Amino acid sequence: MVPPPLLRALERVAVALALVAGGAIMVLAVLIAADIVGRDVIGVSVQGTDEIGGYVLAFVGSLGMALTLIRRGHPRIDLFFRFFPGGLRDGLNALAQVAIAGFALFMAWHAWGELRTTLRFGAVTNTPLQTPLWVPQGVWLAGMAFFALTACAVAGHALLLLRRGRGAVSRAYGAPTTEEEVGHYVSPGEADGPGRGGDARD
Amino acid sequence: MGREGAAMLGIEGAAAGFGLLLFLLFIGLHIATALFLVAVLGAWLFFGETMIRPFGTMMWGTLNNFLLVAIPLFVFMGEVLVRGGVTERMYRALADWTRPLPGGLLHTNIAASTVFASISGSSVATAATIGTVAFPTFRRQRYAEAWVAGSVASGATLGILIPPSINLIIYGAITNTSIGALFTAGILPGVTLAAAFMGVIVVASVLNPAIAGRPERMAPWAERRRRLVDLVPPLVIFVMVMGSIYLGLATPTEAAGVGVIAALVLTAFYRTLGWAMLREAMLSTVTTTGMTLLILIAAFYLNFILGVLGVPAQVSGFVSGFDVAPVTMILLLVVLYMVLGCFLDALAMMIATIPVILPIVTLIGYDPIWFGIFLVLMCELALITPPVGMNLYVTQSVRGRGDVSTVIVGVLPFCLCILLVVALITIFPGILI
Repeated sequence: MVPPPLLRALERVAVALALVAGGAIMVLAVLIAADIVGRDVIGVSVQGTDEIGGYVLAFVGSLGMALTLIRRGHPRIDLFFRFFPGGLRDGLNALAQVAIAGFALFMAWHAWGELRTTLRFGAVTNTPLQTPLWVPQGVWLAGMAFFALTACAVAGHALLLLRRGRGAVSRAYGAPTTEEEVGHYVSPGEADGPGRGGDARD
Repeated sequence: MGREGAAMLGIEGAAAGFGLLLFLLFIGLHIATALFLVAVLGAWLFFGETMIRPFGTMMWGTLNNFLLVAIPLFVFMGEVLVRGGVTERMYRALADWTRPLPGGLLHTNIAASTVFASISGSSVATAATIGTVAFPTFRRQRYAEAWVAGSVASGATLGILIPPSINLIIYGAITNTSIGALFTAGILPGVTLAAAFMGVIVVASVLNPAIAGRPERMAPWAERRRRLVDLVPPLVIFVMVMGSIYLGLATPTEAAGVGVIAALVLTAFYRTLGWAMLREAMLSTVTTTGMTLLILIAAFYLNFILGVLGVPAQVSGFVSGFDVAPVTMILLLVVLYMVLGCFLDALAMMIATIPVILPIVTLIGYDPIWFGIFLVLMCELALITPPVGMNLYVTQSVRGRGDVSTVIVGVLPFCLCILLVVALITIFPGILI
């Protein structure tokens, strides 16, 4: 089953953003190493790596949620679930996607509330960097909004599949098989192809 | 907090909340969604809007937490080393030296997992990579599959006990316990557990030499010595990371940053560092971080709501009413976690129980660092107990033949080792601090 164009486009964006986030992790590592060498060896401290680290985490985390959702990486417990009759299982698979979309919308809404407060008071961090807080929070909100958008698209797709017939949702959105989770360690280079892993399997 | 006003949740209410959580998990909602729904329902029922409003601030606080920055850094470090072929080299180097022991190559699985655990915080990655190298070698030499599978699946659980450990970072962040102290405390039980795993293999192979098959001829001395070089880099990285934390030169997050640089330099030296591999490592790191943080956002909010509802205080008050001996209490907790571990994902089990169980444990005189190690040991057990032990299925999937029941039989002796180490730290809690 081929995912609809919207989801494929979202996945491409998510991968691109995830690579930017990965680059940010590497830059952060370099900054931290420079800070330690500067502080412990030369005696000059580069200020603010801890603060930047926090922003990188907010960036990586919020962007990562969307890609993880598309690749079915958010853990679920399928112990009892697998034994449910097909129709019920389809319904619950769709319900899980709708529920996580609700959670994502709630988070995006509250992230927006947080940013609005920051903007109203023009908050600047109480640190040597004196970062205007709206900058990192703006990036964070963008990540959260992207997650909400992706989750709604996934939930919409799941509901559509529910109407298409028995088993369609569960094939696309059931808990991933172990092969899929192990796959990217065993055969590197194949795990990142376009389309969601496992569509053809299970 | 929580004692002001009518908003106190009785012990029955807390039990109902836990029941609801299990229900939501078992109908297949995502773990994060289930934690969040329970929290938001509690907040809304008892406080209305007032306790839902701080959610945004709490979420920013979770994501912007410098302690948690260690998670993507350590994950990335492990990913780079795995994909850079460091594990395979390590495995080969160790294989030649463990062969003379009774049980031969089976010890390599444990030894390699131990070394690998010291540079990685994930047990799935450990089981998958060690298993991929191990199974073909063992088949040639006709080892008993159950023992091979059991040693791979169990050895891999060391990844979350021996530092760096993602589980210990999460525990430290939730309970405000020093991550450096937790990491240091994890080393001795980790090494003891590895030794116990090897001890079981020795005993079993002496009793029944057939499980060790027909060993191949050992590599010549010169070659064995030459391969030892491959063990140096992981050890250097471990000493650098843990040494800088232990000596107070760097925080765990900073040490993780240094570890990333070291991993990149090392794989560049091995000529395995490339764009394709880096891209895989990045995507994997970003998804693991997104997965973990989503759960953590929900968990921190749930902890906050449980706190204002006074649940931890209520539960420990309830438990202290029974007046049981501390050791009996720990025994009950072991049973509780063994049962939960059969049904819950290890990380979910840890996160969902900390706020309620930690106050009980401190009440009976154990400290939070001790409980962190205890909890991670119980998570290790959860990773290899059916029906939902993640490592069982990862190992089975790498094994690629037969049925998961062989792996389940294989891990049984190793489960006993974990319980043995739990008993040791319970009787001698002082060795951890």
